[in-house]
Amino acid sequence: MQNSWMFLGIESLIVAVLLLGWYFGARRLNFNIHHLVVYTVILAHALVVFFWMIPTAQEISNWVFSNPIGNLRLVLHFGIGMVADILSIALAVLFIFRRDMPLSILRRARPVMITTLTLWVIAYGLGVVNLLLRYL
Amino acid sequence: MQGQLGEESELNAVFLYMGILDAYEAVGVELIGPDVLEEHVLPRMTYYVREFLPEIFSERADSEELTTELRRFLTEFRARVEDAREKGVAGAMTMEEIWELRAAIFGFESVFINILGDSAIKNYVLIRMADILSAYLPESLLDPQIPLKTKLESYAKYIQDNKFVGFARVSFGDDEISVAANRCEFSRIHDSEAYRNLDVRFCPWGMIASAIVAAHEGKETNLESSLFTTKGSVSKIKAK
Ligand code: HEM
Repeated sequence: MQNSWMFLGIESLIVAVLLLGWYFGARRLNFNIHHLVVYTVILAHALVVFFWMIPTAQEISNWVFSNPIGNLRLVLHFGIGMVADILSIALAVLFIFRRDMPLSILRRARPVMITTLTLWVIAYGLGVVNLLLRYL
Repeated sequence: MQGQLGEESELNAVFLYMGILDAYEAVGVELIGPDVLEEHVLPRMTYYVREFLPEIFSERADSEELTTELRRFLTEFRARVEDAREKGVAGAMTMEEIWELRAAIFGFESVFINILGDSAIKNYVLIRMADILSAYLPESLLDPQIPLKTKLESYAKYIQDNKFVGFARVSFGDDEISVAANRCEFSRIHDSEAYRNLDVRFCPWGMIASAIVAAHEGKETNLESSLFTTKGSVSKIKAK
């Protein structure tokens, strides 16, 4: 439980940095900031997923999936979060290969980035609600 | 889209666009010949206004007629700028007219790419353009006492305040200056079929910035590149 609050703090920081990176990086076309933020955030978040979210999910999965409708918030958090993670990693990999960021690719990647950011924030919101309801 | 631009900004905007057009034409005549506009640019311009603004121009089925209209527009526009220069105020300019100008500029750009090739553009055309365009800058941007940084920042603020772009920023690197413009009113052009070979397409906001640098430094200035995004661009400028 102690860990939960610590990881909540880390994830909150990650989301805050991601949003700042969007505002000061992407919207202002300051790609140094944008790139630094997304790559750092993806890595930091991967560590949290690996060391905390996956172990926790293993612990509670039997109980959650025995009643998926009753535990809809958890299932949604898990599903939406996974989609956001997969998209973010796909974007990161795509742009490692296309450092020149051609317009033809940006045009298709931009809606994906906006979707990723939105899903990320939604998954985070659900995660916070789940934790609060579980422990408070 | 079809709205009028703010009163005060109009005159400056008109001059700057006229400057880009004049600079292109001067370099076009110099390198391609006196009939560059008639033979090469107008046909492309006719094509581009249709592509950029289908809701207005596609209805005009007759290309000849549209070409005549655009030719007349360019002549009248020049007369209007002359007039404005004397009176100190520009007549109202609609977004539609600015789009026609943008199409003309785009036409010139395409002609240069097709006829002169990439390296001529980078090594000669853009340097000459910055030089010619600097004569069109407003007084405040020409004063040698004012530091370059202040000038470029006020330019960025100017295009942002007048809503040509949603956001503009200038930053200074070790040996280059970068000019970013996002959520640009004209970014619809980035969807154009012609926006393929982007190595030699340049953002007009970057061009104007490079003219400011050229005028300030009094030496050749090179617009190195414009990176185009969906709704904006980041241009890099190097003083030689
Ligand atoms: C977690 C992954 C990512 C998220 C959440 C994200 C988020 C965003 C958002 C929301 C925008 C739109 C900004 C706006 O116009 O309001 C954007 C733009 C952009 N991002 Fe990302 N991004 C991600 C990954 C990347 C990566 C890995 C790269 C390249 C290294 C990249 C390069 C860009 C570029 C070039 C733009 C400007 C696109 C345009 O306006 O055409 N993004 N990003």
